[in-house]
Amino acid sequence: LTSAATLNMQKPDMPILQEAPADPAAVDVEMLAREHYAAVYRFCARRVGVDLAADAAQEAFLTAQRAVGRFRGESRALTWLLGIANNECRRLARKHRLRPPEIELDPARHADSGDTESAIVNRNALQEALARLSAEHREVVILHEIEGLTYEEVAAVAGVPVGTVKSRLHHAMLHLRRALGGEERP
Amino acid sequence: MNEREDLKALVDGELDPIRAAEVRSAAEADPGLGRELADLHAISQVLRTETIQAEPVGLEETLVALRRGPARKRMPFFVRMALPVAGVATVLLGVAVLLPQLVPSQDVALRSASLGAPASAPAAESAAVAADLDDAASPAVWEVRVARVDQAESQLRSYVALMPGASIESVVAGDVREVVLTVPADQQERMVEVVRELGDATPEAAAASPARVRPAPAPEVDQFERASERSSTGEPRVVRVRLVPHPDR
Repeated sequence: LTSAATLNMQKPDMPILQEAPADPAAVDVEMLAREHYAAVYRFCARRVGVDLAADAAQEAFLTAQRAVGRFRGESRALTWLLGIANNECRRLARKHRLRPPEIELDPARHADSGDTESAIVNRNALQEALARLSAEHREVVILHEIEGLTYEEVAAVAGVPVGTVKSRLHHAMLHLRRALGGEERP
Repeated sequence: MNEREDLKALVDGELDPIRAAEVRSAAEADPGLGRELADLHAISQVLRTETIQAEPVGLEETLVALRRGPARKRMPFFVRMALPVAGVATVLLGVAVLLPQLVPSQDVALRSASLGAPASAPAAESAAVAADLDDAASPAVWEVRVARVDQAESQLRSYVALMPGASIESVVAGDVREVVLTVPADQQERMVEVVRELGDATPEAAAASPARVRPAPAPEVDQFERASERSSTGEPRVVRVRLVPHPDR
Protein backbone atom coordinates (compact mmCIF):
# COMPACT_ATOMS: atom_id res chain seq x y z
CA LEU A 1 0.00 0.00 0.00
CA THR A 2 1.05 3.54 -0.64
CA SER A 3 1.46 6.14 2.04
CA ALA A 4 -1.71 7.76 0.75
CA ALA A 5 -3.78 4.88 2.00
CA THR A 6 -2.25 3.34 5.06
CA LEU A 7 -3.98 0.34 6.53
CA ASN A 8 -3.88 0.01 10.27
CA MET A 9 -4.44 -3.65 10.98
CA GLN A 10 -3.08 -3.56 14.52
CA LYS A 11 -5.68 -1.17 15.87
CA PRO A 12 -9.13 -2.21 14.67
CA ASP A 13 -10.79 0.69 16.45
CA MET A 14 -8.69 3.21 14.61
CA PRO A 15 -9.49 4.31 11.08
CA ILE A 16 -8.26 1.55 8.84
CA LEU A 17 -7.75 4.02 6.04
CA GLN A 18 -5.97 6.97 7.54
CA GLU A 19 -6.69 9.33 4.69
CA ALA A 20 -8.38 9.46 1.35
CA PRO A 21 -6.61 7.16 -1.07
CA ALA A 22 -4.90 9.00 -3.91
CA ASP A 23 -4.84 5.89 -6.05
CA PRO A 24 -7.85 3.61 -5.70
CA ALA A 25 -5.87 0.73 -7.15
CA ALA A 26 -3.46 1.02 -4.24
CA VAL A 27 -6.12 0.21 -1.67
CA ASP A 28 -6.30 -3.46 -0.83
CA VAL A 29 -10.02 -4.08 -0.57
CA GLU A 30 -9.25 -7.74 0.01
CA MET A 31 -7.53 -6.78 3.22
CA LEU A 32 -10.54 -4.68 4.19
CA ALA A 33 -12.72 -7.71 3.55
CA ARG A 34 -10.58 -9.98 5.71
CA GLU A 35 -10.72 -7.42 8.51
CA HIS A 36 -14.39 -6.46 8.37
CA TYR A 37 -16.27 -9.21 6.55
CA ALA A 38 -17.63 -10.75 9.76
CA ALA A 39 -19.03 -7.45 11.02
CA VAL A 40 -20.55 -6.61 7.65
CA TYR A 41 -22.02 -10.11 7.32
CA ARG A 42 -23.59 -10.00 10.79
CA PHE A 43 -25.06 -6.60 10.10
CA CYS A 44 -26.53 -7.88 6.83
CA ALA A 45 -27.89 -10.98 8.57
CA ARG A 46 -29.78 -8.74 10.98
CA ARG A 47 -31.14 -6.64 8.16
CA VAL A 48 -32.06 -9.23 5.51
CA GLY A 49 -31.60 -12.61 7.23
CA VAL A 50 -28.88 -15.23 6.96
CA ASP A 51 -30.13 -16.54 3.62
CA LEU A 52 -29.27 -13.29 1.84
CA ALA A 53 -26.55 -12.02 4.17
CA ALA A 54 -23.64 -13.49 2.21
CA ASP A 55 -24.94 -12.05 -1.08
CA ALA A 56 -25.49 -8.66 0.51
CA ALA A 57 -22.07 -8.63 2.14
CA GLN A 58 -20.31 -9.66 -1.06
CA GLU A 59 -22.14 -7.03 -3.07
CA ALA A 60 -21.22 -4.46 -0.44
CA PHE A 61 -17.50 -5.25 -0.79
CA LEU A 62 -17.70 -5.24 -4.58
CA THR A 63 -19.37 -1.84 -4.41
CA ALA A 64 -16.64 -0.71 -2.02
CA GLN A 65 -14.04 -1.88 -4.53
CA ARG A 66 -15.63 0.27 -7.23
CA ALA A 67 -16.14 3.25 -4.93
CA VAL A 68 -12.93 3.21 -2.92
CA GLY A 69 -11.67 6.23 -4.86
CA ARG A 70 -14.51 8.27 -3.41
CA PHE A 71 -13.82 7.26 0.20
CA ARG A 72 -12.70 10.45 1.93
CA GLY A 73 -11.26 8.79 4.99
CA GLU A 74 -13.37 10.95 7.31
CA SER A 75 -14.79 7.91 9.08
CA ARG A 76 -13.70 4.44 10.03
CA ALA A 77 -13.54 2.02 7.16
CA LEU A 78 -16.08 -0.19 8.95
CA THR A 79 -18.53 2.72 9.14
CA TRP A 80 -18.07 3.33 5.44
CA LEU A 81 -18.56 -0.37 4.68
CA LEU A 82 -21.67 -0.61 6.85
CA GLY A 83 -23.11 2.40 5.02
CA ILE A 84 -22.65 0.58 1.72
CA ALA A 85 -24.05 -2.63 3.21
CA ASN A 86 -27.02 -0.74 4.60
CA ASN A 87 -27.91 0.52 1.12
CA GLU A 88 -27.50 -2.96 -0.33
CA CYS A 89 -29.73 -4.44 2.37
CA ARG A 90 -32.39 -1.83 1.70
CA ARG A 91 -32.28 -2.73 -1.99
CA LEU A 92 -32.56 -6.44 -1.28
CA ALA A 93 -35.35 -5.91 1.23
CA ARG A 94 -37.34 -3.96 -1.34
CA LYS A 95 -36.59 -6.45 -4.10
CA HIS A 96 -37.60 -9.51 -2.09
CA ARG A 97 -40.27 -7.71 -0.02
CA LEU A 98 -38.58 -8.94 3.12
CA ARG A 99 -39.88 -8.66 6.61
CA PRO A 100 -37.04 -7.80 8.99
CA PRO A 101 -35.67 -10.89 10.71
CA GLU A 102 -36.02 -11.21 14.45
CA ILE A 103 -33.29 -9.93 16.71
CA GLU A 104 -32.72 -13.06 18.74
CA LEU A 105 -31.45 -13.07 22.30
CA ASP A 106 -29.51 -15.88 23.89
CA PRO A 107 -30.61 -16.47 27.50
CA ALA A 108 -27.54 -18.60 28.15
CA ARG A 109 -25.38 -15.52 27.83
CA HIS A 110 -27.38 -13.84 30.55
CA ALA A 111 -26.89 -16.81 32.85
CA ASP A 112 -23.17 -16.79 32.13
CA SER A 113 -22.74 -13.07 32.72
CA GLY A 114 -24.27 -13.05 36.20
CA ASP A 115 -25.32 -9.47 35.58
CA THR A 116 -27.83 -8.52 38.27
CA GLU A 117 -28.80 -5.17 36.79
CA SER A 118 -30.29 -6.69 33.64
CA ALA A 119 -32.01 -9.48 35.58
CA ILE A 120 -35.18 -7.42 35.72
CA VAL A 121 -35.52 -7.46 31.94
CA ASN A 122 -38.03 -9.95 30.62
CA ARG A 123 -36.21 -11.40 27.58
CA ASN A 124 -39.32 -12.74 25.87
CA ALA A 125 -41.13 -9.44 26.20
CA LEU A 126 -38.03 -7.59 24.98
CA GLN A 127 -37.73 -9.83 21.93
CA GLU A 128 -41.38 -9.30 21.07
CA ALA A 129 -40.97 -5.55 21.49
CA LEU A 130 -37.90 -5.57 19.23
CA ALA A 131 -39.97 -7.28 16.54
CA ARG A 132 -42.53 -4.49 16.73
CA LEU A 133 -40.05 -1.65 16.27
CA SER A 134 -40.44 0.47 13.17
CA ALA A 135 -37.81 0.10 10.47
CA GLU A 136 -36.14 3.39 11.42
CA HIS A 137 -36.04 2.57 15.12
CA ARG A 138 -34.83 -0.93 14.44
CA GLU A 139 -32.05 0.40 12.23
CA VAL A 140 -30.59 2.69 14.88
CA VAL A 141 -30.96 0.05 17.61
CA ILE A 142 -29.00 -2.45 15.52
CA LEU A 143 -26.31 0.03 14.54
CA HIS A 144 -25.83 1.55 17.97
CA GLU A 145 -26.70 -1.13 20.53
CA ILE A 146 -25.57 -4.22 18.66
CA GLU A 147 -22.90 -3.00 16.23
CA GLY A 148 -21.58 -0.54 18.77
CA LEU A 149 -21.39 2.51 16.50
CA THR A 150 -21.41 6.00 17.97
CA TYR A 151 -24.30 8.36 17.25
CA GLU A 152 -22.19 10.11 14.63
CA GLU A 153 -21.32 6.84 12.93
CA VAL A 154 -24.93 5.68 12.99
CA ALA A 155 -25.87 8.98 11.37
CA ALA A 156 -23.28 8.42 8.64
CA VAL A 157 -24.46 4.87 7.95
CA ALA A 158 -28.19 5.65 8.04
CA GLY A 159 -27.78 8.93 6.18
CA VAL A 160 -29.60 11.04 8.76
CA PRO A 161 -28.49 13.87 11.10
CA VAL A 162 -27.04 13.01 14.50
CA GLY A 163 -30.02 14.66 16.19
CA THR A 164 -32.32 12.29 14.36
CA VAL A 165 -30.30 9.31 15.57
CA LYS A 166 -30.55 10.57 19.15
CA SER A 167 -34.29 11.10 18.83
CA ARG A 168 -34.93 7.75 17.21
CA LEU A 169 -32.92 5.93 19.87
CA HIS A 170 -34.77 7.76 22.63
CA HIS A 171 -38.15 6.77 21.21
CA ALA A 172 -37.07 3.23 20.39
CA MET A 173 -35.90 2.68 23.95
CA LEU A 174 -39.06 4.31 25.27
CA HIS A 175 -41.04 1.79 23.26
CA LEU A 176 -38.98 -1.14 24.55
CA ARG A 177 -39.22 0.02 28.16
CA ARG A 178 -42.96 0.49 27.86
CA ALA A 179 -43.28 -3.03 26.46
CA LEU A 180 -41.38 -4.31 29.46
CA GLY A 181 -43.79 -2.56 31.80
CA GLY A 182 -41.16 -0.13 32.99
CA GLU A 183 -43.53 2.83 33.12
CA GLU A 184 -45.94 1.01 35.41
CA ARG A 185 -43.36 0.06 38.00
CA PRO A 186 -43.39 2.18 41.15
CA MET B 1 -34.42 21.37 28.44
CA ASN B 2 -36.13 18.01 28.97
CA GLU B 3 -33.76 15.77 30.92
CA ARG B 4 -35.82 12.70 30.11
CA GLU B 5 -35.00 12.96 26.42
CA ASP B 6 -31.32 12.96 27.26
CA LEU B 7 -31.36 9.91 29.52
CA LYS B 8 -30.50 7.53 26.70
CA ALA B 9 -27.69 9.77 25.51
CA LEU B 10 -26.39 9.83 29.10
CA VAL B 11 -26.37 6.02 29.20
CA ASP B 12 -24.50 6.00 25.88
CA GLY B 13 -21.94 8.61 26.94
CA GLU B 14 -22.99 10.89 24.10
CA LEU B 15 -23.52 14.05 26.19
CA ASP B 16 -20.94 16.71 26.81
CA PRO B 17 -19.69 16.77 30.43
CA ILE B 18 -21.80 19.77 31.51
CA ARG B 19 -25.04 18.35 30.14
CA ALA B 20 -24.22 14.90 31.49
CA ALA B 21 -23.85 16.36 34.98
CA GLU B 22 -27.17 18.17 34.67
CA VAL B 23 -29.05 15.06 33.57
CA ARG B 24 -27.36 12.90 36.21
CA SER B 25 -28.34 15.36 38.93
CA ALA B 26 -31.92 15.43 37.67
CA ALA B 27 -32.06 11.62 37.71
CA GLU B 28 -30.78 11.56 41.27
CA ALA B 29 -33.35 14.13 42.37
CA ASP B 30 -36.32 12.51 40.57
CA PRO B 31 -36.97 8.82 41.46
CA GLY B 32 -38.97 8.35 38.25
CA LEU B 33 -36.09 9.57 36.10
CA GLY B 34 -33.73 7.44 38.16
CA ARG B 35 -35.78 4.28 37.48
CA GLU B 36 -35.94 5.08 33.81
CA LEU B 37 -32.20 5.60 33.68
CA ALA B 38 -31.66 2.21 35.30
CA ASP B 39 -34.11 0.53 32.91
CA LEU B 40 -32.46 2.04 29.85
CA HIS B 41 -29.09 0.91 31.11
CA ALA B 42 -30.39 -2.63 31.69
CA ILE B 43 -32.04 -2.88 28.25
CA SER B 44 -28.87 -1.65 26.55
CA GLN B 45 -26.84 -4.16 28.51
CA VAL B 46 -29.06 -7.04 27.35
CA LEU B 47 -28.96 -5.94 23.71
CA ARG B 48 -25.21 -5.53 23.70
CA THR B 49 -24.33 -8.80 25.40
CA GLU B 50 -27.08 -11.28 24.63
CA THR B 51 -27.86 -10.77 20.96
CA ILE B 52 -27.14 -13.91 18.98
CA GLN B 53 -24.42 -13.34 16.42
CA ALA B 54 -24.73 -15.13 13.09
CA GLU B 55 -21.71 -17.16 12.07
CA PRO B 56 -20.23 -15.49 9.00
CA VAL B 57 -20.08 -17.47 5.77
CA GLY B 58 -18.99 -16.45 2.31
CA LEU B 59 -15.69 -14.70 2.99
CA GLU B 60 -13.73 -16.86 0.55
CA GLU B 61 -16.30 -16.34 -2.21
CA THR B 62 -16.15 -12.61 -1.62
CA LEU B 63 -12.34 -12.63 -1.81
CA VAL B 64 -12.51 -14.56 -5.09
CA ALA B 65 -15.00 -12.04 -6.47
CA LEU B 66 -12.77 -9.16 -5.40
CA ARG B 67 -9.76 -10.75 -7.08
CA ARG B 68 -11.64 -10.76 -10.37
CA GLY B 69 -11.37 -7.00 -10.17
CA PRO B 70 -13.95 -4.26 -9.98
CA ALA B 71 -17.14 -5.60 -11.41
CA ARG B 72 -19.12 -3.50 -13.77
CA LYS B 73 -22.12 -2.00 -12.13
CA ARG B 74 -25.17 -3.94 -13.10
CA MET B 75 -27.35 -2.02 -15.45
CA PRO B 76 -30.81 -1.11 -14.23
CA PHE B 77 -33.60 -3.46 -15.25
CA PHE B 78 -35.22 -1.07 -17.70
CA VAL B 79 -31.90 -0.49 -19.47
CA ARG B 80 -31.29 -4.23 -19.79
CA MET B 81 -34.76 -4.65 -21.24
CA ALA B 82 -34.41 -1.67 -23.58
CA LEU B 83 -31.18 -2.84 -25.22
CA PRO B 84 -32.67 -5.74 -27.25
CA VAL B 85 -35.58 -3.54 -28.28
CA ALA B 86 -33.16 -0.85 -29.41
CA GLY B 87 -31.20 -3.45 -31.38
CA VAL B 88 -34.28 -4.68 -33.20
CA ALA B 89 -35.38 -1.11 -33.88
CA THR B 90 -31.94 -0.32 -35.33
CA VAL B 91 -32.11 -3.32 -37.66
CA LEU B 92 -35.61 -2.39 -38.81
CA LEU B 93 -34.54 1.21 -39.39
CA GLY B 94 -31.53 0.02 -41.38
CA VAL B 95 -33.76 -2.16 -43.54
CA ALA B 96 -36.16 0.72 -44.06
CA VAL B 97 -33.31 2.96 -45.24
CA LEU B 98 -31.51 0.41 -47.41
CA LEU B 99 -34.47 -1.39 -48.94
CA PRO B 100 -35.50 1.48 -51.26
CA GLN B 101 -32.00 1.46 -52.76
CA LEU B 102 -31.92 -2.31 -53.22
CA VAL B 103 -35.44 -2.60 -54.69
CA PRO B 104 -35.99 0.42 -56.91
CA SER B 105 -39.54 1.35 -57.85
CA GLN B 106 -41.08 4.31 -59.56
CA ASP B 107 -42.02 5.93 -56.32
CA VAL B 108 -38.67 5.21 -54.69
CA ALA B 109 -36.78 6.45 -57.72
CA LEU B 110 -38.72 9.66 -57.57
CA ARG B 111 -37.62 10.23 -54.01
CA SER B 112 -33.94 9.51 -54.58
CA ALA B 113 -33.79 11.86 -57.54
CA SER B 114 -35.47 14.87 -56.07
CA LEU B 115 -33.52 17.94 -55.04
CA GLY B 116 -30.30 16.27 -56.07
CA ALA B 117 -30.48 14.03 -53.02
CA PRO B 118 -27.88 11.26 -53.20
CA ALA B 119 -29.10 7.70 -53.50
CA SER B 120 -27.98 7.01 -49.98
CA ALA B 121 -29.92 9.85 -48.42
CA PRO B 122 -32.01 8.82 -45.43
CA ALA B 123 -35.52 7.73 -46.23
CA ALA B 124 -36.97 10.47 -44.05
CA GLU B 125 -35.15 13.14 -46.01
CA SER B 126 -36.21 11.64 -49.30
CA ALA B 127 -39.77 11.51 -48.11
CA ALA B 128 -39.61 15.17 -47.18
CA VAL B 129 -38.22 16.00 -50.60
CA ALA B 130 -40.94 13.97 -52.28
CA ALA B 131 -43.47 15.90 -50.27
CA ASP B 132 -41.92 19.08 -51.59
CA LEU B 133 -42.64 17.91 -55.13
CA ASP B 134 -46.30 17.84 -54.32
CA ASP B 135 -46.13 21.49 -53.43
CA ALA B 136 -46.62 23.54 -56.60
CA ALA B 137 -44.69 26.40 -55.05
CA SER B 138 -41.64 24.21 -54.62
CA PRO B 139 -40.01 23.51 -57.98
CA ALA B 140 -38.43 20.18 -58.78
CA VAL B 141 -34.72 19.94 -59.36
CA TRP B 142 -33.00 17.94 -62.04
CA GLU B 143 -29.30 17.60 -61.55
CA VAL B 144 -27.30 16.87 -64.69
CA ARG B 145 -23.58 16.62 -65.26
CA VAL B 146 -22.21 18.45 -68.25
CA ALA B 147 -18.83 18.86 -69.92
CA ARG B 148 -19.05 22.67 -69.79
CA VAL B 149 -21.59 24.39 -67.64
CA ASP B 150 -21.66 27.66 -69.61
CA GLN B 151 -22.19 25.96 -72.96
CA ALA B 152 -24.88 23.68 -71.50
CA GLU B 153 -26.70 26.72 -70.21
CA SER B 154 -26.46 28.37 -73.62
CA GLN B 155 -27.90 25.20 -75.15
CA LEU B 156 -30.86 25.32 -72.78
CA ARG B 157 -31.36 29.03 -73.42
CA SER B 158 -31.54 28.37 -77.13
CA TYR B 159 -34.19 25.73 -76.56
CA VAL B 160 -36.18 27.98 -74.28
CA ALA B 161 -35.93 30.83 -76.80
CA LEU B 162 -37.78 28.63 -79.27
CA MET B 163 -40.57 27.86 -76.75
CA PRO B 164 -43.35 30.46 -76.65
CA GLY B 165 -44.02 31.61 -73.12
CA ALA B 166 -40.99 29.86 -71.65
CA SER B 167 -38.30 31.64 -69.66
CA ILE B 168 -34.99 30.82 -68.07
CA GLU B 169 -33.03 32.27 -65.18
CA SER B 170 -29.73 31.09 -63.81
CA VAL B 171 -27.85 31.33 -60.55
CA VAL B 172 -24.10 30.71 -60.40
CA ALA B 173 -22.70 29.02 -57.32
CA GLY B 174 -19.06 28.11 -57.87
CA ASP B 175 -18.76 25.50 -60.58
CA VAL B 176 -22.44 24.70 -60.35
CA ARG B 177 -25.12 26.62 -62.19
CA GLU B 178 -28.73 26.32 -61.33
CA VAL B 179 -31.16 27.08 -64.07
CA VAL B 180 -34.77 27.89 -63.31
CA LEU B 181 -37.04 27.07 -66.22
CA THR B 182 -40.60 28.28 -66.43
CA VAL B 183 -42.40 26.07 -68.89
CA PRO B 184 -45.96 26.77 -70.13
CA ALA B 185 -48.40 23.94 -69.77
CA ASP B 186 -48.70 23.40 -73.51
CA GLN B 187 -44.91 23.21 -73.85
CA GLN B 188 -44.25 20.72 -71.12
CA GLU B 189 -44.15 17.71 -73.40
CA ARG B 190 -41.76 19.50 -75.69
CA MET B 191 -39.53 20.35 -72.77
CA VAL B 192 -39.52 16.72 -71.73
CA GLU B 193 -38.40 15.77 -75.23
CA VAL B 194 -35.66 18.35 -75.11
CA VAL B 195 -34.40 16.93 -71.91
CA ARG B 196 -34.73 13.42 -73.29
CA GLU B 197 -32.65 14.47 -76.26
CA LEU B 198 -30.05 15.83 -73.96
CA GLY B 199 -30.28 12.65 -71.96
CA ASP B 200 -29.55 10.55 -75.04
CA ALA B 201 -26.01 11.90 -75.21
CA THR B 202 -23.33 9.42 -74.25
CA PRO B 203 -20.19 10.39 -72.32
CA GLU B 204 -18.19 10.08 -75.53
CA ALA B 205 -20.64 12.33 -77.33
CA ALA B 206 -20.51 14.75 -74.46
CA ALA B 207 -16.72 14.85 -74.76
CA ALA B 208 -16.98 15.46 -78.50
CA SER B 209 -19.65 18.07 -78.09
CA PRO B 210 -19.08 19.83 -74.78
CA ALA B 211 -22.42 21.53 -74.88
CA ARG B 212 -24.30 18.25 -74.70
CA VAL B 213 -25.67 17.34 -71.39
CA ARG B 214 -24.52 14.02 -70.05
CA PRO B 215 -27.30 11.46 -69.69
CA ALA B 216 -29.21 11.88 -66.52
CA PRO B 217 -30.25 8.84 -64.51
CA ALA B 218 -33.61 7.42 -65.46
CA PRO B 219 -35.25 8.30 -62.14
CA GLU B 220 -34.53 11.95 -62.79
CA VAL B 221 -36.23 11.77 -66.16
CA ASP B 222 -39.21 10.14 -64.51
CA GLN B 223 -39.22 12.86 -61.96
CA PHE B 224 -39.29 15.56 -64.59
CA GLU B 225 -42.07 13.85 -66.48
CA ARG B 226 -44.11 13.48 -63.36
CA ALA B 227 -43.54 17.10 -62.51
CA SER B 228 -44.76 18.10 -65.94
CA GLU B 229 -47.76 15.83 -65.74
CA ARG B 230 -48.78 17.19 -62.40
CA SER B 231 -48.74 20.73 -63.72
CA SER B 232 -50.96 19.95 -66.71
CA THR B 233 -53.71 22.08 -65.23
CA GLY B 234 -52.66 24.97 -67.45
CA GLU B 235 -50.38 26.75 -65.02
CA PRO B 236 -46.73 27.17 -65.98
CA ARG B 237 -44.46 24.63 -64.34
CA VAL B 238 -41.27 25.88 -62.74
CA VAL B 239 -38.42 23.39 -62.94
CA ARG B 240 -34.94 23.84 -61.63
CA VAL B 241 -32.07 22.23 -63.49
CA ARG B 242 -28.76 22.09 -61.69
CA LEU B 243 -25.82 21.93 -64.08
CA VAL B 244 -22.83 20.27 -62.49
CA PRO B 245 -19.42 19.88 -64.15
CA HIS B 246 -18.77 16.33 -65.29
CA PRO B 247 -16.06 14.68 -63.18
CA ASP B 248 -14.54 12.95 -66.25
CA ARG B 249 -14.09 16.17 -68.10
